[in-house]
Amino acid sequence: MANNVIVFDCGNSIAKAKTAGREVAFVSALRELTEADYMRVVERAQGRPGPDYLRVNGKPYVVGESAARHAARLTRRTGAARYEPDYYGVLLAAALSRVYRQSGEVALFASHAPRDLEYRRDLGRAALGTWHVEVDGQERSWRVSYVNTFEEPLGGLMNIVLAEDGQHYQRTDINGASALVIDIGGYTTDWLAVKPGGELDYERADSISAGITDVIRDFERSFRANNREALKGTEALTPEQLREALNTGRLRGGGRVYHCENEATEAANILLNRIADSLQSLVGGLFQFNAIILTGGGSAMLEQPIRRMLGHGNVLLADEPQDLHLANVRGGMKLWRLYEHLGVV
Amino acid sequence: MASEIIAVRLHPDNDNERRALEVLASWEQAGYSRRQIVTAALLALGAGPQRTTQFDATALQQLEELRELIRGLYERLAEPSAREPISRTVGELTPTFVESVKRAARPPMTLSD
Repeated sequence: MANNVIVFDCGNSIAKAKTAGREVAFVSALRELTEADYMRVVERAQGRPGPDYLRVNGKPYVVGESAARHAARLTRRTGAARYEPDYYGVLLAAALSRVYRQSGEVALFASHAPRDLEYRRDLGRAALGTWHVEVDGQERSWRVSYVNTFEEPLGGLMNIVLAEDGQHYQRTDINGASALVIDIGGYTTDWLAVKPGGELDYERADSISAGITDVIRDFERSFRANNREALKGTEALTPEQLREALNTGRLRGGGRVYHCENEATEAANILLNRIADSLQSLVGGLFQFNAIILTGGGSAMLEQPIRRMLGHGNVLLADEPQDLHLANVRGGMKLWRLYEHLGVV
Repeated sequence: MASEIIAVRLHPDNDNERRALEVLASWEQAGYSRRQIVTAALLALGAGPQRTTQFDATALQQLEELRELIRGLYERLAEPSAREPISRTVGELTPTFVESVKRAARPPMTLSD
């Protein structure tokens, strides 16, 4: 098997990748370009248009933030529909070009939502093969010869439980107790229960089609409606502004502080109420769990409101708030190291 | 109070910046976040611009100590054992946990499948 291992989480809104030495995150957006459009961009940038413009196996694409700016012509697939070579494979190729400077053979450890377990073969087919990438004036190739998968909330759990070597605990308080991992992503929210002693309870793993993107859209819409003059000429609020606004009810911008408790509460409640209802009906409430572990970028955006909604005495974050979107790939790398140690990969 | 964002560009064509990138990558590989690494590096440099611009005897001594620290770090990084992850570990994994994680492992998919 290849020595180079990449952990990849092709989220519906943000793609995250981790190797032993690097971590990257970029907007999960893609658009195929015409040859003429691609050459125009390359020429304007004097041959180095940056990592978002690339040719994958001969076809030109724009990915990431640069692709997201052309929303009207964007290819954005969600759920299992992403697992095709011309979408998942291209975003994986973009990730490979950002984390590796040299060509080589690569093993992929990919995460997916628990409900996508039945589509893991499609994920594998979309990723396996040789990816020839031209980006920023350089040509490199990666041969993905091995693929394995894990559920996203499992990555969050492993990130908080395991030490970097994947062979020791970094905290033992969760191990002896039951826990529920809640992963709030861009378009989906997943959860996975852990029995006392660490046994994973797959009967209580599920997903709902709602995530932080809905909250941000609703918040921006109502905040903009109430502050039209201030936001004139501003296309979008920054992630830092949104995180502070949703957590504290205050938004800083233009040298002022705006009070937006009502907009933040209203926007968050639609998602939080759906999560609360689902957890009640599908998991049987939270009283049975000794710890609740929050993971995924959406959990950081909504940390305080979700803590209030859960009303649980032991809510833990799978990583630092500003890095919570990376918790699943970091935990995936720890899990990979444990699997290697156990000889199961 | 909100966190302050500090962004810098480091280019591999510049020798010092390439070495800085290597140091950054090595510490990241060891499990530290960029925030932790930058904080530790700045703390090691001393307390703020007024101290480092004076270049008095204490500041020069601190800089020399920092050079030693970096030199030592390079030597350590050259040893294979130093590339092993540095981590806070508090206990051995229990057999129940290991068995459960093992059961969660899925069959691999390869090009030859």
